[in-house]
Amino acid sequence: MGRKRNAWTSRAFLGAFIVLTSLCWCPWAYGTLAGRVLGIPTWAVVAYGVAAALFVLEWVYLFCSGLAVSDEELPAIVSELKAAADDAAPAKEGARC
Amino acid sequence: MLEIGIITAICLASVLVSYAAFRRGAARSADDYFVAGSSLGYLVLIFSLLASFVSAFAMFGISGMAYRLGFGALFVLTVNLIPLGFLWYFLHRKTLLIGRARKWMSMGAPFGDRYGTTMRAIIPIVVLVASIPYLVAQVQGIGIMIETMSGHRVPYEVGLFFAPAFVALYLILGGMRGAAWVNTVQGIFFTVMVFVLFFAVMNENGGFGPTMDLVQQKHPELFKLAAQGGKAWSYPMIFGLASAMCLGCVCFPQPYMHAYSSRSAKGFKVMILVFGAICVVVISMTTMVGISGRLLAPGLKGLEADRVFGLAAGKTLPNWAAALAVAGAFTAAMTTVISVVFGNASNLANDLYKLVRPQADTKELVRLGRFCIAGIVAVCVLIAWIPNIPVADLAIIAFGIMAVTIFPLWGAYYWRRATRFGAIASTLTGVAMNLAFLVWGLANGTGMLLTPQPFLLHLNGFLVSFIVAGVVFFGVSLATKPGAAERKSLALFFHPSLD
Repeated sequence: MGRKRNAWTSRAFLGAFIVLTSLCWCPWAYGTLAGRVLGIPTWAVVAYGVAAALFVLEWVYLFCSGLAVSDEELPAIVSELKAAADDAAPAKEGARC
Repeated sequence: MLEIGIITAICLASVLVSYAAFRRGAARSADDYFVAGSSLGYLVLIFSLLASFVSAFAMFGISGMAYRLGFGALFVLTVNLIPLGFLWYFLHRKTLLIGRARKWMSMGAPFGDRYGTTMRAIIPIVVLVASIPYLVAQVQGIGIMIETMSGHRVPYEVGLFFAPAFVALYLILGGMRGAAWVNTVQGIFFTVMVFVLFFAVMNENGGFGPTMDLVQQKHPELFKLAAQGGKAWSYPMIFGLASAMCLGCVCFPQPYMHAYSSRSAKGFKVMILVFGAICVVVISMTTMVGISGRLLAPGLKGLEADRVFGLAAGKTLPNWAAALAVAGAFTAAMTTVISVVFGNASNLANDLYKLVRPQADTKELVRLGRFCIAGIVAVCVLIAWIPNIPVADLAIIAFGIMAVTIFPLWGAYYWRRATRFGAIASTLTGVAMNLAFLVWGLANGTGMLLTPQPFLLHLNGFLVSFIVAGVVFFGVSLATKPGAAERKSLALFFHPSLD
């Protein structure tokens, strides 16, 4: 149940991320705004606003959502991976193509 | 020549700080030399990452671009970098975790473990190819700045040798631990100096608002995007530059090296979140310094616009303060050279040379790394000798080339069906297309790698290369079967603990 909820939460974050990133990479919805606010173009102010919203979203995802890896989990994950790495031989042994 | 004296003193101080840091850290194994023994705290991580990315490009390049093209430059290295918080986490979470378990030390290591030795050998070459224009941008920027600050008494060609000589010296003395500490000090220093210069420039015309009013009266086109009738900044152009820079940031060696160097998960997350935000603050200021430069130093054309940062400092600050402001930018360029040269040396030593000589010991690898550093810097000075591309454009070209490795990286961590043939074909195709567009654009003067072209469906060469690289990656991966290397790697790269 918890895993399912996490999956939906992750998808919600991903959706918001895609929308806000597209706005940070291209002013497609606000590039035609005219005028200036505090000396700079209105479209630039909107771009800063979108960037600020995305920053907050990333902060929540990384530190408050419980979805990102934490220091409490780190040692256990690394030791499990070390064990797995010992089993899975590295590429240099028989991995030429 | 007071300005040059101050810059020289700051460079010498960098060497001393680096060497002191090295002497303090007792361990001198290859692990310490290359990734600081995974021991860097997040303050050092943040500022060393910032200093390793923020460079002559961010200072002279962006201010020069803003001088030429206006506020649209905000989409090149400020607001477009905020998505890095997610992108870096998504693409480098496994770099952090598996890297720690496998003790990775170079960018090629994850590709080698996932796709085999051929991909491991290709990555350092691709990184080197992409790094060259980026490093040339730094060396060129430093040469221009030395010439500008000395009032042309030190020729550009002599200035080219200034920083690389210092960089080689303290890299050879210090290694990553030293460089990280120096980067931190320099990162804080240039951040403060950008603030100082910004306020000095704005104060010259009675504050920020009045300065922008004056600029708009004389150059209203700087405030417009193409949709409003401006000459530059069409949406395809903005998207092409913004995505190239952001995706390139993910794929450059610095995020790999800093993921390996991170002491904790929290440090890693703070670093990737704060990086974009600091860029927005600091580089917005250099952008606006460039725009205001239209009032302070009118009439600069083409490559000349890269001088606006130094000229604005010279016209608004006392000589010693102007020298400090420019020295801040100068150290930013130096730290980037350090980071990129160092990453390349590490890649060449750990990925390429170890393939040829698996029995190579630590001493041999460190020695080779030093030779690589000297060689790379020498090549960049040679190319920068006759500058013909603005600093900003050089850097964007580098990031665009590097961005094509995002598909093999994503496939390594998130697509079980990815094959080494897909990764190799995609990387080679993307890089080759970028280089072809670069050379073609230089030959016919269209700059088609960065400027949208009608015959490319109004996309620029980077975006076309990027899309084709993605199609090739998926197509070839689906058309070929995963080999022994890929199948074996699944146990590690898709371990349940990583879900």
